[in-house]
Amino acid sequence: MRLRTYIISRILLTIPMIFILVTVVFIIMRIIPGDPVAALFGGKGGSEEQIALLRHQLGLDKPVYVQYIEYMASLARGDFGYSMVRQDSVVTELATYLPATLELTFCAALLAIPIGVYCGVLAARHAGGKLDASIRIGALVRWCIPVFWFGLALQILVVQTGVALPISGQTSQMEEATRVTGMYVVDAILSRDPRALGDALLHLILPVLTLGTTMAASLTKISRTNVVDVLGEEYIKVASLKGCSEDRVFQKHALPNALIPILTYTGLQVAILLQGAVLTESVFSWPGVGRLLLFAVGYRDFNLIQGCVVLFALLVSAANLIVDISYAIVDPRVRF
Amino acid sequence: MKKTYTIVAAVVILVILAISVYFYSNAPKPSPKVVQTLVLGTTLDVTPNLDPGQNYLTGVLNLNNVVFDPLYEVPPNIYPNAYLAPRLAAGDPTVSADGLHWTIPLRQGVKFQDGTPCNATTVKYSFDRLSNLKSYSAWLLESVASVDVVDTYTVRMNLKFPNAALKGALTMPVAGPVSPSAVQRMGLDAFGKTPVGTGPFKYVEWVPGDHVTLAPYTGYWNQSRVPKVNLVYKIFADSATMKLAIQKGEIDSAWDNIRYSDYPSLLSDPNIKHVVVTEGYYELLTLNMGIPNSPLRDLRVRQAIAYSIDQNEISQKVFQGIYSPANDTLFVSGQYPKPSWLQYKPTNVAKAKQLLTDAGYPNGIDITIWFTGVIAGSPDVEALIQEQLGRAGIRAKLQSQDTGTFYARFRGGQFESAVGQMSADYLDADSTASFIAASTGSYSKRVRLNDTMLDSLVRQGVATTDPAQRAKIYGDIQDRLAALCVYVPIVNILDLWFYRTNVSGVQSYYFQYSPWWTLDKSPTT
Repeated sequence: MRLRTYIISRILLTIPMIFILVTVVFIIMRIIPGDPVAALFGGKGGSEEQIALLRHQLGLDKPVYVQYIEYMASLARGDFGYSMVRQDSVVTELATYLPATLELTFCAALLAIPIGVYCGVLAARHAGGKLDASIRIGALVRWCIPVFWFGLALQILVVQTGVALPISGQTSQMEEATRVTGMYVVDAILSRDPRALGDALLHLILPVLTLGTTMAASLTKISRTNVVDVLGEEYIKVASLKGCSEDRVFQKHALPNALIPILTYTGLQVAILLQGAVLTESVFSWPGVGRLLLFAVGYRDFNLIQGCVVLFALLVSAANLIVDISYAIVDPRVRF
Repeated sequence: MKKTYTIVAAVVILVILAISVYFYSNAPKPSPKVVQTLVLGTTLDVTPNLDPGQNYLTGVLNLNNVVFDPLYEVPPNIYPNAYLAPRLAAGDPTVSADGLHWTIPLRQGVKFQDGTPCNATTVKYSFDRLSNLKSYSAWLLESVASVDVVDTYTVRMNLKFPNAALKGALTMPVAGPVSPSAVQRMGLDAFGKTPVGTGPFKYVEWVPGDHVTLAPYTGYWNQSRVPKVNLVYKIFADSATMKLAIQKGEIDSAWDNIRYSDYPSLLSDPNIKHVVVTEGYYELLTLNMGIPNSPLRDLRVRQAIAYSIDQNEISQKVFQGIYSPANDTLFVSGQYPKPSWLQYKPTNVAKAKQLLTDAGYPNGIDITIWFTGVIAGSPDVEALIQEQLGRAGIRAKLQSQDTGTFYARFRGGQFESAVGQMSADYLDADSTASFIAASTGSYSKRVRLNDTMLDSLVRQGVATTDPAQRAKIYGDIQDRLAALCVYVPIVNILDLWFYRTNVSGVQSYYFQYSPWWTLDKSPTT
């Protein structure tokens, strides 16, 4: 199969995946208790007429199957519907919040992948030693700590020690660069505002540490396991017996082979990363899609929840597609 | 090789840190701004818009109280003797003998933030718009049949029925005039994002889910109220983060919804001060009179529950004494106070058991108490209530539910018992009486309260303008509510507004009437 055919087939496969996913979310949202209209009115009540009017305006007075057909029809046209609570199109809402999530997850991945892989490789090369034990215990401990708890602990640490790091938000209001992309690091660079750039980078440190170390811990474990496995292979032993230096054996023979499953795992980690982003964004008041999703769930904003889920699914699919394509680069034997 | 990896990793991390710190601290600082920016933290999100005619959320009401000018207001720092004073109105209304026509003089020389003159025509436009939008806010004017322009600076409101509470309703920010030209120019959606009023602040920017920025309106008609600072309304997803942010100095003030369990650490922080804000609501336990086969249909059982609840214990153990026990059954914040609930104090477990025996339940009863997490003190309050009821042989089963479902079922009167909150919308006794005592009230429906005496009293109260007569009527309502025992008041909810020591001009206020125009901030922290 040619690469282009493979990519097209993978993209086409996402269509039934999204269809099934949206159907499942649609059904779950209607089955579980909770009513968006009641949540909108909250404790204030609202008259029966107002409630009926709002239900009609939101289309919630129609039979569920009609709502489903209408929603799927609009989704097929690329219309994610209208947010009941935000009173804006879901696409607009997602476009507003997505850049912040991309900025956070990209930076977290940027931190996690080199650190995670490096620590895993380091542990593997000292397998059975003190350094290996330290890294494994450290990774395990970090992996076991929930994201929200770790984030809160970092915030408390920063407040108690007086470290000059911001603990909330994507930027200080006074240092805000002109919004172009919504990713303030990029916006600061585009507007050539060094102060805003520094501010945006400082704001990234704690959330990225929170999210990135979770992924790094996971990658450390998987990298170590893979490298240890590869180092035990016969061809590694043969290479050593033929007189290759330890470093050469490792760099030329062990590492490239160990990287392939790590690459697969990294692709899967995007889902974990997005899941962690929901909690990280909440703890750090980071205005991203994760926080939007939590908000939407609180208000039972069906369309917005479905929009967020579809977006996350697309991001995970895209990441995995990129990983699959990159196989060809890492492993010349791979053909599509 | 491993040494190389370590060095590279360390260098990369150090470079990122160095860039951040260098650019932030050494880059040329912007020229000093004319006014300081004060960041006000809150967990109250604003959605879906900021339009006073469409949004009734507490956070938006407070924002709109400084962006719009209602005709009347509750001045700050006057609790517990809160009263109504003219704001955009030039004086008190003249009410016709039959109570059906209210003539209100308007202040002259007032302009909207977009330069449009504010007069009787724009006030009429705004009231008509509020009614026509048919949003939840429209109920404020449900007693108003029409609004006439008498002259350039006088409007007359023609009522469907006498409504002594109308002046109180006109203090609501939702009743603040909007700029007709801005509405027409921007359209409904855009106007909802940065609406234009006549208030001391004007909207600059709203980033949904993150912050709202306000700037002083220098052309404000009352120059003594022109704000000294820009204001950023910063929205936090979590109270714990907001608490840490004010302690760190990242925000200047934690204005609302700080979790009560975080109070002690903030109260002991030398860099942080506070004022007490009257939220105008209390927490209560509802006892539904209308569930078939429920023991709560019997008054003696409800009284037994009333005698079992120890408000002081709840106040001390859950709210650390900050929220006081509630003695009024109709919380009207200084208006017509009458501690009718004292008849059930002190807690008397023996009497509660006797009442249960008299009602035919010598072995106690089983009830279900529903609750949701957004109620202050939940779930500790419910657990303590369960324990207290257990002492009298009342076996309470606790059931939690998500907020949306909870309110839907609560409003439908489906809960045998529930822990909820009751708030006044504005400063008038009718604001709570019509909700909690009249059979048509949304809260009354939650306990299936349908009492002809209460209905009559509520009608009399809203139709009577004489303060002495109103005090008598609302006192009777409170006595009747206590006698029927469908609500067990638990604690008065207060909020502590925390701010850093470099912030000045903080004044206590009465629920949504935040006086943020008084705030100032010294440049040093």
